[in-house]
Amino acid sequence: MAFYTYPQFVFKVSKYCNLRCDYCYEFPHLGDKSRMSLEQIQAAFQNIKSSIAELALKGADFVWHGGEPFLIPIEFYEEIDRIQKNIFGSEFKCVNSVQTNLTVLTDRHIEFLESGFFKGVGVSFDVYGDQRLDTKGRSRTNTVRANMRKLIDHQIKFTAIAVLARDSLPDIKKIYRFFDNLDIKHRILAYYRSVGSEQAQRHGLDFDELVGAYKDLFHEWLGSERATPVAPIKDYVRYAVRHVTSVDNDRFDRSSSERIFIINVNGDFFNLVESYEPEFCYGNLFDSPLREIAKSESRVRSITLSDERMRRYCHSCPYFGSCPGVFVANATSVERQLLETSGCPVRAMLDHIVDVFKRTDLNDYILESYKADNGASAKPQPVLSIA
Amino acid sequence: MKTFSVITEAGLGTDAHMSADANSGKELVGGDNIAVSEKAKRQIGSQASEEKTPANFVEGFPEFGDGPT
Repeated sequence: MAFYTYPQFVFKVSKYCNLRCDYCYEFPHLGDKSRMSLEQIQAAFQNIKSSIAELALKGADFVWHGGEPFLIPIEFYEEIDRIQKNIFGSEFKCVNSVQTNLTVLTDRHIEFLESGFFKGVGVSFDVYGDQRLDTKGRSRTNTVRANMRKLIDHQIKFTAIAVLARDSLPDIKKIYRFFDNLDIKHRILAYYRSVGSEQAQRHGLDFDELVGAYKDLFHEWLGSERATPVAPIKDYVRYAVRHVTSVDNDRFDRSSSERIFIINVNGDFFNLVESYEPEFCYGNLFDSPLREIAKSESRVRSITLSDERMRRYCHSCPYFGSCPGVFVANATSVERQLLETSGCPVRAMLDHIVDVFKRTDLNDYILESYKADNGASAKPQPVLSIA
Repeated sequence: MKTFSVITEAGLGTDAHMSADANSGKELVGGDNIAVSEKAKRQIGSQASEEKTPANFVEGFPEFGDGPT
């Protein structure tokens, strides 16, 4: 089975966190201080390195994730930098990034961030919703704002992720405006993985709530003079533009394009879809070469299930090919339930965006832009129903 | 990236400030009062001829979801 040539490995260095966000899918483990050792990380690097030729790897992204990765001393990451350079040398491209709640940001952190080891810094910040509480139940929102200011003052670029869940739903427009005003590219991440049905009840969104929030987000972006990109709206607009211009040759194939993998604290290797489900563990990166993990039976089984979902939801969808079907292919159990009960929220969003294109001058503008750049006329699309 | 003296809950200032700000420089297109800014329109236009990127690639983001932080 093929393996994507530029994979991304999300290292769960430790689950330990100073926050207790109630929607967190790691919630039961947030007090656990155990973490990967440098020897284990070195073994993981070696198990990737030994598979470069067979898997035709061109490079790799490493996302240092938690828990809160900035609770771990900076010296740990300096050692990782040294080990990584020793093992991979300069020929193999390694790009490191970190996802932090930004509640801890000392001068030492600033100094290390300025050194450039982390090429990407992602800040987890909801802005609204009051979910970002510490272990004593105190909101850390003001601390995060102050630390964002520090990053900006030091010209350290960062992106952001805000969780869209029950508490933040009413403030979705204000969340976009916050990041838009600061020109911060961000991602609105709908609650997508639960640690149990009670948590899902408290924080999960139904289909109408989710699509309604995405529509609000789309219109905030569309009307903003800064129009700061926001995922997933940026992707949905791109799919809609492709649909208008009849570009329909992008169909996601997990067997060759599966790219993101989670390495748990104990080295267990998971996909994005069935993370932490033992029956879908691909192997252990501390113990086994990546080339063996890539061929695992559980990977084949998971991809077969993705293919079945895509046959069910995507193959009859008028947008398939313009939309690659990633949402369906990578749907977690929370998202699969949404698909089962109400259908595909991406399809509903594309109905809406394509309709907005038609109700404004954007449809003609897209076709003119496409013709100007491609020297060919695009086929007009039939009218679609509105979600 | 721009810098600002204070980052408040609303980003730069009060909601009233943002509301006025958000309504400036927009073009109203079509009969439904759908606001379309020039910058959003340009982004849409440039996407019409954009090279394809891998289906699950999101430029500039640590792609994986939020996690516990």
